[in-house]
Amino acid sequence: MKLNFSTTYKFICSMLLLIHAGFLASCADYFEPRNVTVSFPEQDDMLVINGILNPDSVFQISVSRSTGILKKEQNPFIANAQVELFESGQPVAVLTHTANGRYRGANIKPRAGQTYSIRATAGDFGAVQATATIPVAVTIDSVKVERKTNNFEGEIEITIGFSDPAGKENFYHLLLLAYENNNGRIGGVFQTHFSTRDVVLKDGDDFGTEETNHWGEGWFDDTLIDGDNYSLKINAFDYMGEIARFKVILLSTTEAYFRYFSSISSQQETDENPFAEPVQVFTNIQGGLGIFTGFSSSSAIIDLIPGLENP
Amino acid sequence: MYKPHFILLICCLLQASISAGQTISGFVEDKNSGERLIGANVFDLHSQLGTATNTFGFFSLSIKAPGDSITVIVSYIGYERWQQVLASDADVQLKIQLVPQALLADSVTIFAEKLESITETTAMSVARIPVKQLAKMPSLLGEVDVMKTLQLLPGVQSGNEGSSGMYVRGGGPDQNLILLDGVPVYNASHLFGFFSVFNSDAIKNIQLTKGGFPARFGGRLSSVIEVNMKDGNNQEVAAKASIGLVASRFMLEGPIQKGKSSFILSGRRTYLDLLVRPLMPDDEKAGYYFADVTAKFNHIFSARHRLYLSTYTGIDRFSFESKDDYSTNNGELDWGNITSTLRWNWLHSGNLFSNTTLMYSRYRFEVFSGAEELQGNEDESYFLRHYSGIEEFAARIDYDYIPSPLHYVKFGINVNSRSFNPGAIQLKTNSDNFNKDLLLTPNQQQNALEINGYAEDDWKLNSILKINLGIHSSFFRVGGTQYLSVQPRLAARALIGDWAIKASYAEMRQNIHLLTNVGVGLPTDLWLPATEKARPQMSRQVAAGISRTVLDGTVDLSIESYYKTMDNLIAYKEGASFLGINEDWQDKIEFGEGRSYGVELFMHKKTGRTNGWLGYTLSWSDRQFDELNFGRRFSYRYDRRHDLSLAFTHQLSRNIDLSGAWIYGTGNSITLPTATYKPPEANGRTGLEYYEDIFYYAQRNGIRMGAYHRLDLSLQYYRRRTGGERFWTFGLFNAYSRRNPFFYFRETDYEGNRTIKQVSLFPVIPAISYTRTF
Repeated sequence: MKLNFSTTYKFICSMLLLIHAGFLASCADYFEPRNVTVSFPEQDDMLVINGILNPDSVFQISVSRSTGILKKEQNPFIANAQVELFESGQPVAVLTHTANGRYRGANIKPRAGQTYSIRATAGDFGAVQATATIPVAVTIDSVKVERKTNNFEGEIEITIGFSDPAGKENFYHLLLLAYENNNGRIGGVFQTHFSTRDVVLKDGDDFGTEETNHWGEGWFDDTLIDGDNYSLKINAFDYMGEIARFKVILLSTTEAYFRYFSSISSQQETDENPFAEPVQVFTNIQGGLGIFTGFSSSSAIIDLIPGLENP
Repeated sequence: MYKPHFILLICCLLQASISAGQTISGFVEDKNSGERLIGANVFDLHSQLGTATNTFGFFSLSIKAPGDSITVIVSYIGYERWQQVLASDADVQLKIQLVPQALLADSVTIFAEKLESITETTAMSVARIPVKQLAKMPSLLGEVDVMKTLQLLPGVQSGNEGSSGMYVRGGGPDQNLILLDGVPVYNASHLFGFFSVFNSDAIKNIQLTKGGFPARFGGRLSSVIEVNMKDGNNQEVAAKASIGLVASRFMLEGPIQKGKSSFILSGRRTYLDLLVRPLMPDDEKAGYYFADVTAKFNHIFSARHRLYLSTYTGIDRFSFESKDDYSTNNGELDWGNITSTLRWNWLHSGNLFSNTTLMYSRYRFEVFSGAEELQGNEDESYFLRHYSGIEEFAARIDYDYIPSPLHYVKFGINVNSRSFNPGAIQLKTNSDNFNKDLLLTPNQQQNALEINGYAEDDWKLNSILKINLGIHSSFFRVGGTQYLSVQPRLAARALIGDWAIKASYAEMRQNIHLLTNVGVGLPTDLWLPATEKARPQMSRQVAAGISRTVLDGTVDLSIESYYKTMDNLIAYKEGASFLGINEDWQDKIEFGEGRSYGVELFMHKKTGRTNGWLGYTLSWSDRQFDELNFGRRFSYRYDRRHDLSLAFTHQLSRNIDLSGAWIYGTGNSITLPTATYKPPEANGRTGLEYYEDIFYYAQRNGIRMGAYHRLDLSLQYYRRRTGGERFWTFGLFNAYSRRNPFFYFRETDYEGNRTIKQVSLFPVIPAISYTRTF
C-alpha cells in the first residue's frame, strides 16, 4: 500500500497515542511497590538500658531488647537481667526486677554531684555498661508573669530567672505544664505550648514571626550565657481563659541527656517526612542501646487564679 | 608556598616565547556546512609535529622546516583526510574544508588519528563522544541523551534509576561544571532528572574531563562537561524533524549571508499533556510538559574576526487546577534555565588567538498554589509562592598562544557575579485576618563576586616526555568574606615503547555549594555561595595510568587509578530538609570531608562494523562529618564498588544499525533502620509520654540496595530519499525488564508483620521515533 504524506502522519500519531496508553497502563501496575527479595542484614537483638535518674526518686532503670526491623513486634522487656549499680566505682546494689523490665534499688536515691555506673547482663547478651553523673540543680531564682491584655490569644509572658554555674558546660530542659480550672479546683495537667524570641531557646523563625514555637518543652545549653544571672523569657497562652496554673520546671541535665532527647525528638518529628535526613538516636550504653543519665530539677508555680483548691 | 610553581611557569613562558620559523595557522571546517571542527588533527609529515584545533576550530603550527616544503595533513572523525604540500618560505593562514564521509559508509572512524591518539596527548581522564555515535546509542523512551551516554564511561556513575545526574569519581552532582557553549548550566535535567536539557540535534561536540584538569578549568571539584552547540550551516538551509514517544523535535539551520553568517534554531517539547488534557473533566485538569529552545547566530567579519551569539531556554512545568461551585484551586511547579552567550573570536596573528565572552545564566525554581473561595457574598483568595534560584553574569577572555610546536600556552581571566536566592515564601491574601502581602521567610538573597585567572603550557620536552603545567587562581567575595586560592595543576606523559605512562595532580576549589536531600534529585536542590561558615569546597586529586593502542590501532586501552580528597563538603543536618522554612540554610547544614579512590579500565574499539567500548570501575567513596554518623566515616550514597558498562554499535547492513548497552553497578548505599527499641518510660517530668519506639540506624548509608543492571537495545533503519534522509529508530529500554531498586521503604501490616518494600520505576519500555532531514 502506498501511503501519502498525511496518511503517514495520521498513522504515526495514532500509533503514538496507542503506545502512550500502553506505556501508562504498564507503568501503573509496575509502580506498585514490591516485597524486597534481596538480602537485608538481620540485626542481632541488643540490650536496651533506659535509666534517667534524679535525686527525688529511687534508682530505677528498664531493661529490654531491640527488635530486628523485619521481626514481628514482641514483648521486648527482660525480666531475668542481672543489673549491678556502682557509685564512684564502688558496688552499691544489685537492682531487682519489679515488673515489665523495670529494675529498682529499694530505698536508694541518687545524689546530686555523684557518679553512678551500671553493668547489666541477660541471657546470651553480652554485658553492657554505662556511667552518668547527676547534675546539681540550678534553681529558679525568680519568676515574673505579665499578661498581654491586648492580645486575643491570652498571651502571658513568663520570665524565669536563674544563675548558670560558670566555667563548665551546663545543659537544661525546660518544661511548661498547665493545670486546668476544674470548677474552682485545680484540674488536669498537660504540657502546654509556648513560644519564645529568647536567643538561648530560639531555633529559627516560624512563619516570619521571629519566634520559635515549643510544644511544652525545650532544650538549651549555656553556650551564650555561661556564668550569667539570666532571665529567660517565654510566652505562654491561655487561649480560652481556662488555665488555672502554670508550672515551670527547669531540669539541669547532662550532655548525654541533651543529645539523647534532641535526637529522639528530631527522629520522631521527621520520621514520616520522606525528604528529611534520617536521624540516628544518641546512646551512651556501651555494647547496647538506650540512655543512662540523670537530672536535678527546680520548679516554680504560677497561679493565674489564686486560691483554687488543689486536687 | 606556591612560589616554585610561579617560577616554573615563568620559565615555561620565557621558553615558549622563543618562536620558531614558519607558522601555519587557520581554521578547519566542514565543507558542506561551514561548521568549525573541534579537535581536528593538523600534522606536518616532514617534521612529525602537529597540533589539534581548539573549541573554535582554530589551529597554529610553527615549524622549522628542514627543506623547501612541508606537507600538512588534517584528519577528523568521520571526514576524509585532507593533505597539501606547502612552500616553507612564509607564514600561511589556511581555511581547511574537510569533506564528510558518506553517512552510509561501511564504517565510521570514531576517534581520529595520531595526534589525538590516546598515547600522544598529556590529557588523561578525558573522553570525547562523537555526536554521531551518541545519536545511535539506545535511550529511555527514544530521547537521545548526552548525560546518560556519559554515564556509560568509567568513573562516571548515574544516581538513581533513570536519572541523568552524574557522580564522577565519588563527587556529588554539584561538583560537575556543565558548560553549554561556555556558559554554566545549573540544573541540567528535565522531568526530575530523567532527561537532560540538551537537545542532541543542536550539539556539535561533547567532552568530559574528570581528572588531570588543565589550568583553564576551575570552579568545580569533580568534572567539566563541555557541550558545544552547532554553529549553523552557512552554505545551505537544512532542517530536521523528529517525533518520538516523549517529545517532538525540530532543527532548522541555514545561511543568512552565504559563507559569512548563519543561524541554527532547534526546539523540543513533550506533548503527553496536550494529548491527555482534552480527555480530563472540566473541573479537574493537570498536566506536565518540558520544552527547550536553542538558538545560535554567528557572523564572520573577516578572516580574523568572528562573532557568535547563542542562547538556550528550557522549562519544566507541572500544573493542576480544580474547581467547583464554591472554590477554585490551582497550582504550578516551574523550573528551568536560561543561558546566553556572546563570543568574539579574534585571530591576532598566526600564533595568537583570543576569545572574549559575555555570558548570562539563570536557574529558577518556583512553586505556587492559589485558591479562591466564595465566603458569603465575598470572594476570599490566597496565593502562596516559594521560589529559589541562581543568576550569573560573567565576562571572560581566553588566549591561545602557540609560539612553537613544543609549546601550547593558554591563559585568560574571567569575572563573574552571581546572585543566590536560596528560597523565599510569599503569601498574598485578601482575608481580613492576615497581612495582604507577607513574605513568610526572609529573602536570603546573597551576591557574590568571583575572579579567576589561569595560565598553562602544554610543553613537549623531548620525544618521550610531555607535560602540561599550569596555575589557576581564584578570588571570591561574598558579603564581607573573601577567599583567595592558587591551584597548581600538572599532567605528564612519558612514551615508553608503545605505552604511554601518564600522571597528574590537580587542586580544585569550588566557591558554590548545592544543598540537596539524600536520594531525592529534585529541582528544589539549592545553590548556595561559600560563606564565612560554609567555606569553599576543595579537592586534591592524584591520578596515574597507562594507555596504548592495540589491535593495529583499532582499540584504545587505558587503565587509570586515582585518589581524591575533598574538604568543606556540606550536607543537611539529621532531620533537616528543604521543607524547613524557619531556618537560615546555614543552620541546617553540617560540614565534613570526603575521599574517593579507584581504578578504571577503558577499552574502546574505534573502527569497523562493530565498534563500542567496555568500561569498568572499581572504586570506593566515603564521607566523614563530625556531626553525622556520630563522627564515624560512612559510605557515600553513590559509593559503587563495581561499575561495568558495555556499549556497542553494529552495522547489520548498509541501512540498519543495531546498538546496545549493558550496565551493571553495585547497589546504592542507603540509610534504613535495622531494629526498633523502646524509649524510657513515660514520665510527666521529663516529657517522655509522647515518644514512640525508636528506630535504630546502625550506620548512615549502611544498607546496600540490590545491584543495578540493565540492557538497552536500539535498531536504526535509515534510507536516503530525494530531499533528505529518513530514520526509523526502535528501542527497548531495560530489555529483560530487570526490576531495579529505586527506593526502599518500611511497612507494618495490621498484624504487626514488618517488611521492607521496594519500588522500581521502569520495566521494559519500548521506544519508537521517526526522524526526517530536509
